[in-house]
Amino acid sequence: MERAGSEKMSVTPCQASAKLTPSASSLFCGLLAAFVLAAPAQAQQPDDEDVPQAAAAVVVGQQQFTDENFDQWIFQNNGNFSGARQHLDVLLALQMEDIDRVCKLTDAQKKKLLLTGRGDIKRFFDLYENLKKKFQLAKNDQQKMQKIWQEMSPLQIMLQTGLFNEDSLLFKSLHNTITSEQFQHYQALARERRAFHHRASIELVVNMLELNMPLRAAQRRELVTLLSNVTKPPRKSGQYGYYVLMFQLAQLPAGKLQPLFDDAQWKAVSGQFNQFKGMRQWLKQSGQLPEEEDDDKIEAPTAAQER
Amino acid sequence: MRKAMLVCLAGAIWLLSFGFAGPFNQAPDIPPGKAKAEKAKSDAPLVKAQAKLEKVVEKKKPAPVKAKAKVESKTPVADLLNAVVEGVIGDVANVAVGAARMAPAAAMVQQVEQQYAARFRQLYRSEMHFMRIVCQPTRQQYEKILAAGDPEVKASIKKFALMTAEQRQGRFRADAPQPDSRKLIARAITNLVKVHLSSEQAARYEKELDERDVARRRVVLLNLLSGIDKKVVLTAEQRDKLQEILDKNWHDSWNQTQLLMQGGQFFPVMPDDKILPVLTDTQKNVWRKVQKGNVFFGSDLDMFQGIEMEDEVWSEPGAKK
Repeated sequence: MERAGSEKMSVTPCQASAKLTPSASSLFCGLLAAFVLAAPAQAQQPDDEDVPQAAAAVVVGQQQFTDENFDQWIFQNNGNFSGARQHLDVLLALQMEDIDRVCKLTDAQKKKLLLTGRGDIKRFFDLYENLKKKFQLAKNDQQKMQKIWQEMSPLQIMLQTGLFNEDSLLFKSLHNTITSEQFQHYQALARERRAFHHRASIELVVNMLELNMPLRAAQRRELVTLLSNVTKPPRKSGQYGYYVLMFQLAQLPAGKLQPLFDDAQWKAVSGQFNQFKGMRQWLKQSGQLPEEEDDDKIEAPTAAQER
Repeated sequence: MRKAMLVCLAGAIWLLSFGFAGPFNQAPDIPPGKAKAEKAKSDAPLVKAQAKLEKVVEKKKPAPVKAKAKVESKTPVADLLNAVVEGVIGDVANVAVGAARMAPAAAMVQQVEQQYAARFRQLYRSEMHFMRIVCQPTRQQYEKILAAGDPEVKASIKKFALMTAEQRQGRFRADAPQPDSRKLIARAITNLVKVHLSSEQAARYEKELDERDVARRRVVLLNLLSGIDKKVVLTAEQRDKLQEILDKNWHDSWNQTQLLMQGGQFFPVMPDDKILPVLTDTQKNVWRKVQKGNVFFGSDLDMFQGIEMEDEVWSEPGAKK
């Protein structure tokens, strides 16, 4: 009976809609709303098997945070602890392969470097464990959780961008582990790689400026050359290359850049630079600023140049 | 469940025909004469989409079993509704979903147009300034092009709005080319330059646009390559090989500035069958796990700062200060 009734209902509204009567509108609105609203409500109904253990779930306001949530926030695409561990092991193997390709490592050198690389991974998981302990104490306190969110961010970035950067134990131990000749080879390659990333960022920055104000081919070339000469790559390779460059560009004296543009173009591009002037603190905290900028050695524009 | 879906679908379509299909229902408001012709021109993409929709509805429509109440066919939504009514016994859902895929809701298109209109105007002014420094037209020539460009800009906005509305309505395909607002405007200006300026001036402008395209393509390739390198640590030789591979297998969907800004955290659909043979086993292991192709960051117009451009300054006819 119920099925028949529902079948009747499914035809009647269609016929009603064909006649476009006012009563149909309320019927459709109701049906549509009921359908749309019912779907998420149904999705939210907890399945008994999915309900977390009461001990693991603590209420914060309206939200419940569990240890699993914490792991998801930290490990993201890697899923969980073992997924992240596997990911970092593969990244270490990748770095080892690269160093070996350039330096032709001996077995002893490989062993030592592998050990320091594992030290980096351990250091990451130590940070994770420490923060997790803090989380377990703070997860029912919204104010304390604010601090946890802040401390979580560097760990997420570490995992996203990889642990084996210039600040890693692996790289710091390189010059003590390999010969100076090997080290020179490796440094030359690393410099070349950084220069390649920097060049890509420079051309992207010029392209971004052109979104607001297109440049002639000659202007584009001149600007790329200027930026290659007066800016430096970020201290760490990562996703902030664009911001580091725009910040450096914003610090340059107007006298160096303005001659490349006409008045209307300059107005548009200098407006863009201004938005990046206040980024020093953020870039410094995230360890992205190149050494010189970090030491505040960059030439600050004078009031006259600013004008 | 299927019946309930059909009911809701019909309800949604009915709602669309009233509340959301404004411009389709405004035919009687179109003023006669020139204005009407202009509107028809600017509505051309919508009309085209409507025609496609009608074609699909027609194709999918099953032969009527018996006479049914029929909506007077004034709008594509009404046509769709008729198709639904007539196809209740057949594959209604397929007809409706298939037809709905063909054209975004008019209200959405209008919303996108309104959202981006001011930015498009600024874009137009900046592109006109670029044309001026490249072609060096006289003031009179410049103003003629500026005036003639107005309907072209409107048509470009409409085209852009249609593509963007498609994406906003969930019809985003990861490998679909992204709407390039500046290219749309530049193309419109190119046509006007050919009409109002000398062939030498037009060639100069086209050459600059070609060089801009080449530079843009290079930026995309370099930054994709830089992103791959950050993930799998390439040798210089591998970088060269991959640059060649990416260049040969170029796809317009890669042309997303905001994606490139992420510094290798996200990737579009890539020719992995060509990339993988260049990599070592360890690199392959990492590259296979990198997610690709399911991210759309938005239009380049979202990156447009909206910095106001003042009116062009003319010190003397034809001379740029």
